[in-house]
Amino acid sequence: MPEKARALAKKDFLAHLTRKQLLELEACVRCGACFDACVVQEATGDRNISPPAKIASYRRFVDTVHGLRAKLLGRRKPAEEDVAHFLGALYACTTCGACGEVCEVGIDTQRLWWAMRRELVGMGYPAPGTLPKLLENARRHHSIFASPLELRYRIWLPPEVRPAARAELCYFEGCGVAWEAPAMAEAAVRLLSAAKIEFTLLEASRAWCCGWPLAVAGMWELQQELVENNISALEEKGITTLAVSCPCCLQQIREVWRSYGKLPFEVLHITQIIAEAVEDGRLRFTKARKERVTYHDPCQLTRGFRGPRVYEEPRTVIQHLPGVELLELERQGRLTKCCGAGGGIRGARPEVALEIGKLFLRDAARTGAETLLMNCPACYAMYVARRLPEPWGREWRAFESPVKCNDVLQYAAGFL
Amino acid sequence: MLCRVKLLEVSKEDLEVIKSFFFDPLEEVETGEGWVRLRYMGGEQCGGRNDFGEGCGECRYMPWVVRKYLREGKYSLK
Repeated sequence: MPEKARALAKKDFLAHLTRKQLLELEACVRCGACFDACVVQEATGDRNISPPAKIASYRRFVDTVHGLRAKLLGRRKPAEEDVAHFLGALYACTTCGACGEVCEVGIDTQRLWWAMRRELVGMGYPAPGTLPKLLENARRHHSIFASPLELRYRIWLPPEVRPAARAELCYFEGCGVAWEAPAMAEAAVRLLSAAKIEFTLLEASRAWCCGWPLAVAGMWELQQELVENNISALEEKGITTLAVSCPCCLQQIREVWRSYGKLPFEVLHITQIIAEAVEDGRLRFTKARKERVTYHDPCQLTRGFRGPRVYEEPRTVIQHLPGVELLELERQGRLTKCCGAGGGIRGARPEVALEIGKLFLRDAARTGAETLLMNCPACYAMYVARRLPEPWGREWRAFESPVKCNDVLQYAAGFL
Repeated sequence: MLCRVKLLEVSKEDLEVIKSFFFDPLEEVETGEGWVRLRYMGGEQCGGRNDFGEGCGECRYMPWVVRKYLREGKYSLK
């Protein structure tokens, strides 16, 4: 709740919603098609926090402040307990967008949840749990982690891999990878080196957070500063292609950075570059290991952005690993499940993230795979490092699964 | 796999980097004169070969700043 009760402002509940989104509030017919797509619904079964329930609550707020109800009864603030319940539901969500993929009336739910969060934070309702800490860190360090940016390459860059001072390709691992999944970045640059693909890195202190984690949590205060710094740092490098490891960076760059102007470089996910090198023979895997693996499509590689989805490329890499058999999860591609680490839910509602995680590992085990390969630092932090706030972290670490978890490129680098 | 490896002869510069990476409260490192003991990840304590069968020097779970000590043999599993 806001620290001080605040008077109703003219644009409350509307300031950050587009006309299309206002129509979407009216369009939801509560058919429930999204229930089966939603990992939070699967984990909790609580229809009070389902996508239609959130839309209905928000529609009621808008009506109370601006709509027919306001015209008839006068504008009034929604009850604080109603807003509190709504906030609980809004942040008990991974914002993975699976509900939007199956929506019968085509509501872009992912963007809607983000806009609602931005609106509520703008009205003075802080994001719950540990999320405000991300903003504090970003104000101080320009990343969501409480560590100086200058340290990032010293965590993961091995001395035998030497990035060029200037190159056509720039590799941007993203702060989530540097601090939660540094082995992903090391594997990426080892594979680039093995394929003899020249690349450069941004100066560590200029590679700021892409803005995604703050945006999805509703905290937009630093967006412009973060995005403009990154674009100008990359422009100064004179690159033609930017390769990212973090799917969230990819979505943010394709969707939000572009709104600040045309980008003078192409943006790809690192697995797209590695897959191309594998296919044209520049990268060969020489070791063999007989193993069954499954691959989890990260939400942000298969939905929620313009441009081609990154679906085939990670599979191409896996299929070139000698001895490895790929078994598919029941849900993949644009209908992939969220792993339970997205949208800030680990910080806002760790108990829900924990239950999603347990169910997801059971899904992976059902494929018959020995190893679950992932492609996102949030997935990596959740499943490899098993990072969740306490006390849920202890329970999560103790949860046993026959399936080992790893990053797809880190796994592939073991075949060099 | 829970890594409780004790890194030896850790430089001040690397200690700063290692501390920045192991930020989770349960992963907070123990430090002493030139050594760092890690607490990383869940499950059983690793006996020196991880669940991919890799020895410490090749352990892909560890970032480079840690693995370089493992590769140089500057560690103890006790």
